[in-house]
Amino acid sequence: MKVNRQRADFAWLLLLGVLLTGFCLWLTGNNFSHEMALRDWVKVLGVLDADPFRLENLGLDTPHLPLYLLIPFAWLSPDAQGVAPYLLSTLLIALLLTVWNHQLRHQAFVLWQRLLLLMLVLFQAPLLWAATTGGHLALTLLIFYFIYLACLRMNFQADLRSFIMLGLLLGLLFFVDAVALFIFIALFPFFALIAPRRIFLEAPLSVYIVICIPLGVAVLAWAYLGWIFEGGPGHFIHQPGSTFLGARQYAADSPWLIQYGGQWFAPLAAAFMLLLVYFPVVFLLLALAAKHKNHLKVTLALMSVPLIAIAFATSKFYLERPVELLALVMVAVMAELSVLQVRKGWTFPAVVLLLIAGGASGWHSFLQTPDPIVRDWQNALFARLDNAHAADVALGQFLSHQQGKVLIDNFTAYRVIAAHGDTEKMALPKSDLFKLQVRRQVPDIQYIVVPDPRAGQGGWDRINKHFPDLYRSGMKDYQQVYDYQGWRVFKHVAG
Amino acid sequence: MDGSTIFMKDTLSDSAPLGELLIARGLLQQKQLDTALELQKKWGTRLGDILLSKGWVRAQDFYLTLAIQYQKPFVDLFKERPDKTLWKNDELTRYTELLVLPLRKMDEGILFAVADPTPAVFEYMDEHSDGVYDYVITSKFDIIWSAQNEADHHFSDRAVNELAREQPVNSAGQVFTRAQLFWIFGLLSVVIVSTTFWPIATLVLANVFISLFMLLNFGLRMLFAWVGSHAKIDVKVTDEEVRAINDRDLPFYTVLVPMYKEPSVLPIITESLRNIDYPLSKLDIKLILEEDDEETIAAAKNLNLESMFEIIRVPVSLPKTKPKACNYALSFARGELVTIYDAEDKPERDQLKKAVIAFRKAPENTAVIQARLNYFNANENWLTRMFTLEYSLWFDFYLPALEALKIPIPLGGTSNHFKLRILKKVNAWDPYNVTEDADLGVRLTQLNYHVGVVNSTTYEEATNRFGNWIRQRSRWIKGYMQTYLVHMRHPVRLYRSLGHVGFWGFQFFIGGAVLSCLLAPLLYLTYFGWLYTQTHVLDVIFPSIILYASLFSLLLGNGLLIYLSTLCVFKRHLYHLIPWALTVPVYWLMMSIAAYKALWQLIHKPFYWEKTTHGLTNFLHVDPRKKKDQADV
Repeated sequence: MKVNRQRADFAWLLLLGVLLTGFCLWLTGNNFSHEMALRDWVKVLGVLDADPFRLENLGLDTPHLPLYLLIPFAWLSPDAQGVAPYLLSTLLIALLLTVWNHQLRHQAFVLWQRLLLLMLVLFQAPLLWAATTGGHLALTLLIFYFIYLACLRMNFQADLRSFIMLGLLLGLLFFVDAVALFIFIALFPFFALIAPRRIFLEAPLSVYIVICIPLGVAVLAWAYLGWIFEGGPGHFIHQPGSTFLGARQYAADSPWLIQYGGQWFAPLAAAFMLLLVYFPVVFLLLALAAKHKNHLKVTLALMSVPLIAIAFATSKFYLERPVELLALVMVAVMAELSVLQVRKGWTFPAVVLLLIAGGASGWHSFLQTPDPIVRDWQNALFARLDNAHAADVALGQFLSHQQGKVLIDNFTAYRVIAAHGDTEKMALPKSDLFKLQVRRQVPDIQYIVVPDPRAGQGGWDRINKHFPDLYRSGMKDYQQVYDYQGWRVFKHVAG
Repeated sequence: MDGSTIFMKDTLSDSAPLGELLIARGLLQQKQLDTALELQKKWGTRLGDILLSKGWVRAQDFYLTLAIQYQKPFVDLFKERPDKTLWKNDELTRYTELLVLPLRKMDEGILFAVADPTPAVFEYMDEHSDGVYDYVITSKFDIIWSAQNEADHHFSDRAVNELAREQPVNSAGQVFTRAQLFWIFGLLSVVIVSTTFWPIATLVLANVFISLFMLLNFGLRMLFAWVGSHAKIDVKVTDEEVRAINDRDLPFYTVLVPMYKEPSVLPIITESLRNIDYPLSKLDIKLILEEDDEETIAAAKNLNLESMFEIIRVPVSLPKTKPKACNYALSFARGELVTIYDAEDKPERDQLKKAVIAFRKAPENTAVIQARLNYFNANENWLTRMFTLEYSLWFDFYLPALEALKIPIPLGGTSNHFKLRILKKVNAWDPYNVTEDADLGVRLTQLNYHVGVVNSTTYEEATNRFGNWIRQRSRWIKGYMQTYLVHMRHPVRLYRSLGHVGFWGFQFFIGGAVLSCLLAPLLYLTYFGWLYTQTHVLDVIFPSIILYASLFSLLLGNGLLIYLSTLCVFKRHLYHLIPWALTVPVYWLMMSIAAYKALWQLIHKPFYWEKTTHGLTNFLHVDPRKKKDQADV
């Protein structure tokens, strides 16, 4: 019996994985790409192709766990490697849905009910976005699902495992997504409501200590690694381009931050409005949870967490688009459906109707968003996008035909490297070769690639920083061999 | 008395009931008799046992009255010594079990001294006298004293040498076997040669080993804590089950209380045992005192204890260890089950009943059930807080997890409840092993017996002084070293008997516990040395993968172990200790100091028993179920 269930779960995972992967391939086939996904993939390539292998070359400006999960995809054929981050996110969402399906079955939902709920959940724009954009969000959602369940279990059963689960999951989340800190801060005041009342009244400080230690250890460990490898414990929050800084550097390109950045109540109100639009089902779930005072208290607290996290992350110019944290509400809804009794009577049709309504209004709202990446994603759903990064691709192809080592910064040239397919001949900023070359007055390497320092992120390019006149004036012993749409390549000539 | 008279069993039928005789002789009040008769219905034991266990009749008076009832003379064996030539060495244990002794030869047949004239005793006398015998009445103390007095050497020899004689492979009497010495010296030679010719490669290899070990050690402890945190593991025997048990069905229980120079705690343990929730007449409590410990012997005598308490005087011999004393006392044990309590122990009142139920629920091959240990003076100072955290993690999480994962359980020093039959069959404790309990747990598992745990706690006194703690801990670690060496004499055999999980669990839980204590200071020194000097000398022995593993151990491994220390208080609701758990790395350093002392002693004084001084606390034990906060007196 158990074996049959395991097989059924595996079949679900496979089916959902195939469906989502198909969808994902369709998007990437239509030229959709997500900056974060590409950056991650190029980092992984940089470390895998380097000799010697050094994990610290992944840098500490982004959480590592999703990068480790990308490593097995390096065995894909080079042509297919570009889709690795997207495949990973689809697999993770498929896994989340499989776990959820498993729990629904445990709650005696029949097959057609589970199928219907799965379809409706997949129909929600935030979840589909998370599943197909190749970022860290998919793994964040999976972990948040378990965090939600751990909180419920802690309150209902007051057992030790729930404390361990919650503490460890919060610690783990820090290694998955920089947004962990915002989720934690949003959750922090609610521990008083979530923790079992008796224990909390007896020893409030101890409750906080037990829940917070793993995250504290994770942050301290990260700071320590920053001190060891990067020269300072605060490196991960000071380094330009660090994921931990979120969208601070691109605030001017984010319509959401332009409107709400630096504020607190306005994004909170906006997030609440978005909740109404995307997930009206939340209010039904709250009404159902109200049958048990404790449950209502916990659900209310946990449903508030994404909204507060949105407000807080926006106030710190971290959050580029609210849909990413709003997706946590979707996960919270899934968790609630797996514990509330909603499969019988009027409640099931009501849930279904509200999910449909939320899905429809959510899509309507989502399609109105002016965010350029979201618009790209929407357009890629229906048609092939013009390749907006043709210059990067062209440079990548150019480099493929050259022999010799290339000094290049993956922070600015990640699309070039992705188009090139590997980093074997690249001297990337973390490598000894790069460090050696930029210390010299005149480098001694076959090719140097620099972007226009006046355009886009070109000013942050680490080669431009060391050789500020290179793009404009060239360099002694180097000859310009490539100049196309903001990229120049200089080739070493005999001095 | 006419020695030639032959008494038959049916001559007893005309005797007056014992209770009436005692009242008639003014030794018992009617009210006491009524209560005793009520208890008899409830407990299902004999009236005499109840009266003696309650202390309502002095033992001497009781046995005199018994003699009157049986119309037999009463004999004081202190004055009239038995004829030892009639004794058989292999029958000595039967004498003490049945409380019968061949006293002297009669013209025809044998005269026995009997303290407990039961059908089994008559049957025994019949068998061992060709059907012609007579008997006199004596007290059980006379029989025990005589047996000890006359067969002292025999009991001592058994206590010290029986295991070494019958299972030499399981005796720590020899610290290292020749094969082990060969391997140790061989390995050291290889390391020296290798370090001389290939220093970097050797150090890298050593580093690989250490890193791998530390990672697995952390992982395993996390696994144990996870398994041990399962709610189902917590409650094996419920309070309802304890309430439902019929006292008549309870077996006789022997309680061994080994003590040495602890007269001050004697009244505390005796009071604890007196108040235990178990039919007192089914208790056979042995206060095991060393012959040269006159102070405690005198204190025990002055307490005028009830007859369920017996003083067993252990003759002076080497090794002078607790397991030897327990082995000695085991020859006098009469219970079906047997347990050990230390002098300062305060077991929960229902512990014996819970152990009985746990045995009934456990597999048939269960040999021992370990109760949980914890401390009643947790709040006394930093050391006792740390000790409480450690014990909570050990007994509330690790041991239940070991049982669930079928890994050999190193038994705790006290509150382990054995089936006496099996305990004797496996030759009981190793007198040369200074953690004889841990060794016995592993030995029993190897012999295919099940070792279980039960959700009942014995509260002990946590040592509150550094020196005392180091002494105690160094003995424990030395004992773990002995246990590891004993069971690793034949690793393949051990692997076969324990299976994959059991074998590796043993390696990490017993061997790993010692190794991590020994390695920790070296690793800390290396780390802080590097931190201080910022040297690059060490870079060559830390290739990337080793560096990551070491960093993981240093940061997350230690972090998670501290985390476990914060969690371990949950089952006991000792939440106020959680902030203290953050200081546990200092405690680990102390463990390393003790480990090096243990290593030194293993070589120089392997059987030396570092005595822990008890009775230093200023705290009194208060049953946590009655009151959570401990009272400071």
